[in-house]
Amino acid sequence: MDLVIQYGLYGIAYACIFVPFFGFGLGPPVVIGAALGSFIGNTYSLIAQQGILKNFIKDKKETGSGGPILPLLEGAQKAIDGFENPGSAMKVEAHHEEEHNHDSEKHHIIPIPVYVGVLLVLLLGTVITVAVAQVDFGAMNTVIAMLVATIKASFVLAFFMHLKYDNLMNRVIFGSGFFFLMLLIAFSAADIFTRASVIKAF
Amino acid sequence: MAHATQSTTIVTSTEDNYLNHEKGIWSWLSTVDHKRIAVMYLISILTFFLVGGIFALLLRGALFNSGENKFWSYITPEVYNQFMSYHGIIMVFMVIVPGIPAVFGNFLLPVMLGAKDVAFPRLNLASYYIYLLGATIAGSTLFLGKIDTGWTFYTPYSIKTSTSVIMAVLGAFTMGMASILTGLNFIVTTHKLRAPGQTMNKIPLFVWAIYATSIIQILATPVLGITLLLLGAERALGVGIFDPNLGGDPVLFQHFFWFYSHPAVYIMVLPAMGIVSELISTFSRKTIFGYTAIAYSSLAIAAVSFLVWGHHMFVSGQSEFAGIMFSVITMLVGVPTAIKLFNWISTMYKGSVRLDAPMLYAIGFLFLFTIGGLTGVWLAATGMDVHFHDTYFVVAHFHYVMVGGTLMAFTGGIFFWFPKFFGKMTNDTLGRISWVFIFTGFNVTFFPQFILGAMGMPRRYFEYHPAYEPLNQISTVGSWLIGFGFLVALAAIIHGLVAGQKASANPWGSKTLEWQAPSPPPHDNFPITPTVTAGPYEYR
Amino acid sequence: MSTVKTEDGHFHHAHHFKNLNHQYDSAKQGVWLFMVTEILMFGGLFVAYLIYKSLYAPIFHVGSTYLDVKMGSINTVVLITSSFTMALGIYFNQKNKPKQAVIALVLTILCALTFMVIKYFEYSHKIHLGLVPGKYFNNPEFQQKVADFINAMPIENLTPAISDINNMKKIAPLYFGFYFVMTGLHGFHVVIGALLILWVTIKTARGQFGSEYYTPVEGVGLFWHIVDLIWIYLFPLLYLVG
Repeated sequence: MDLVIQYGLYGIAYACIFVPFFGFGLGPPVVIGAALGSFIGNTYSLIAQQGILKNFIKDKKETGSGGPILPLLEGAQKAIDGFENPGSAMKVEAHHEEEHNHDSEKHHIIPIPVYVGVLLVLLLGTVITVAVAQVDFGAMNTVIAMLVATIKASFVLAFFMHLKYDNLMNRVIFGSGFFFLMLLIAFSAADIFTRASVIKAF
Repeated sequence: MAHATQSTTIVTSTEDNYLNHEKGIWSWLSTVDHKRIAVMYLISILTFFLVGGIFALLLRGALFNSGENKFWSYITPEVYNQFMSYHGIIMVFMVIVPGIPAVFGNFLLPVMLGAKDVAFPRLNLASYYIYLLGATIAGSTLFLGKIDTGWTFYTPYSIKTSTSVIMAVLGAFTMGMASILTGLNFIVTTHKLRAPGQTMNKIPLFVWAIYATSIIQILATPVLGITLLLLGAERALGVGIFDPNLGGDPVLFQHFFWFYSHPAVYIMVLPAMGIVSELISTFSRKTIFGYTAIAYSSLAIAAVSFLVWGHHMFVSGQSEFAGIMFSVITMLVGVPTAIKLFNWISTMYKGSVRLDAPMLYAIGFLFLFTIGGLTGVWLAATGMDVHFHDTYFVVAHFHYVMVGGTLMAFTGGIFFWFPKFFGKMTNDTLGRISWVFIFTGFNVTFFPQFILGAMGMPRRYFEYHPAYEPLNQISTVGSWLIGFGFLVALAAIIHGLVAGQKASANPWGSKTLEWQAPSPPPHDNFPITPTVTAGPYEYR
Repeated sequence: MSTVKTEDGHFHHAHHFKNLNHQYDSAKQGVWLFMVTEILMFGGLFVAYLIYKSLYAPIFHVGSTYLDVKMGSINTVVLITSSFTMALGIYFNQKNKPKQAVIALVLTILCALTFMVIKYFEYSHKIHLGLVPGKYFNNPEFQQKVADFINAMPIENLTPAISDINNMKKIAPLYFGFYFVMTGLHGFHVVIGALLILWVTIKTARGQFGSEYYTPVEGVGLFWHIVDLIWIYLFPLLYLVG
């Protein structure tokens, strides 16, 4: 029931955002695509982070009703595990010890060579930005400059600001801020750049 | 669920509580106890409400006569514009936006979550002082050049007028800062300080409402900040961003302004809906119907509220395409609101309803907010809005949702949580009398304004056509009834403080966590951190 | 103070948190939420800038030629380096090495000061030339250059707004309005950031942080990186994409 409401609300939100932009012709396919995408993403995160597949496999093993498909599912789970946590076997043991000493739980510390590497990448990025600006790409100038800037920004966010090793919530918080900024741009631009056109009919 | 309550040990002795924990004025002014901060906010907000209310009475008094001879010769057209602006600025920025989150959110959020305090207690105190600072800066304009642009500060008038716009926007900016810091505090508190066993699906709906409100506060208020800063720069330096003479676009100001101000009205209303959920469930002695739907609809309202701001600008020169886009999405935002309304009514169905004062206010909310919300959908239709924009129809609409909605819930919340705040009961009869006057007075004041708007009377006008006079006079009489009703409510509060009966921990028989703590709660809220084993509305 | 080093060298967490880590995670989340508000605030400025740039491209193109790309690039390098030294400052605090941390943080402050000095030169040059926001603008040569640029544009690129050359000359100072507001607000944040870094430097020097507790340094670091991030976007938009 929860899921029905959840996806229902997703659907409404997507419709609100996509239909105005893609029109009533292209809009519905985009909405359906986005809904499917989020369903798949949601399911993947349920498997990877909340272990629903693991529990399912465990249940089936205990009741002995797995059948031939069980080895396939186990293989899939292993693959996902390997993708999500390289070296996860070692981490499991370390985690048990850490559970008892929360205060001394070590924060992830990024080593200095990584910082130096990021600094060099950023300096290189600056050189590229200035160099590329000497060539005129016309309307693409702004786009290319923003692209390079975004790549530099991602490095600052991921390493200097530690987001790569941080918990998911901080990434969600940052991402949502950025998303709403995009909304402001999109809707204001939608007004200003359609001022001249008069809609005669649909 | 097998367990009946969110269980904890109740301390029977109530001698040491947050009110007498430390004595002296300095212990209050330097407190980091969220409960004391809530009480300080309450005093400030009630004071500002009184001032804003006096401006309202002055406005309605002036509108009693259609011509330029008003009941008080001091009220010229310029002065009328000033009164109108102050009424708006005070009510919006100093009363309703902080309103429920600052008072009830501050007091109840940690207690409902089983926490000892909010996540950042010193930041909480700083928020209060920043709020007072902003109110002082904005209020200082009364003694400088006054303000006459309306609370919306529309350009180009706000660039050219000789009133103290820069001080006013500086005050609003500062109060916005306080709003951001409060929202930040509440989000981290809800994420990090829940009691053991309390998952997000077990928190009371009031907490969900405050959580959704805090998200809006974080995302929307900064844009107001930059808008007001740019307005100040425009006035001081002639930057040219909003001034058509200098190449600017006044409609861009409106885009930026309403990007905040529309979500802001949901900052005003969502906490009120949270209170109504609590009141209806408690006074129907029944589990709230559709907990998940109400919780997620709060988040949905918060999210969709960011997509609809252009419905304030249908006739400002915005493009047709944008108008259509905003119109359609605005109608969609009514859907989660309607979900809540149906769920509240379903909660009352076959419940054991008691019509104590708080419940009267909650039912009043249901009725008045429905009218306000429905008329909002009429305004969302561009064709209708062309006629209704800037008429009294709009004025009636937003007063129905803000006063009939938020203020009803606020007052109901005061009567409901008064025992928890102060350890005494209010006189229920006084509470009900205040409700009768407020509810009746409200309808007498604002329903005629729907008709006036449909008849074409423009808003913010000092003088108007004599044909509108009879309805205006009815409306003014209604405003006196509201004023009297709020005075009765104030009398009920004072009487409760001075001579109220001592309250038990749970006088209303509610099931949420704050009623398991003593009334008033001790300094640390709970003697031991409770473990939550059941949902918040398990009445049967 | 909620977190104080006691005589036995341990840090005590505030009473409403479970442990130091709980407090650290919460504080970090709070700082991230505040950073979101900073992004939205500056973002509003960027939105306005992008809109006007699309509408009045010639003004922005000619205006950006008045900005010194060399000084802007140096400032970019200075800020990026300061982000690096800030990260080092946090690193050394995490490793319980207050002396190196203080050096790194002081370097960060020096970078900030360098940035402000270069900015001062840029501003004073423009003020001298009368290239300031609307009310006080006084540089007819700039307005003429805009007119010349429009006249040289191929006719199919002209929108109705741009074709009105007299109006475009009148509203040309809009560019410098944006320049001063955007870089000014950013510069204000650089100054605030430098003061905050000074505060944590003093506390580090006094031995008030350690590997168990360095939250304020990290919080200030996050703020400083956001200031750097904003400049990473500001620099190409204002100086390069004319």
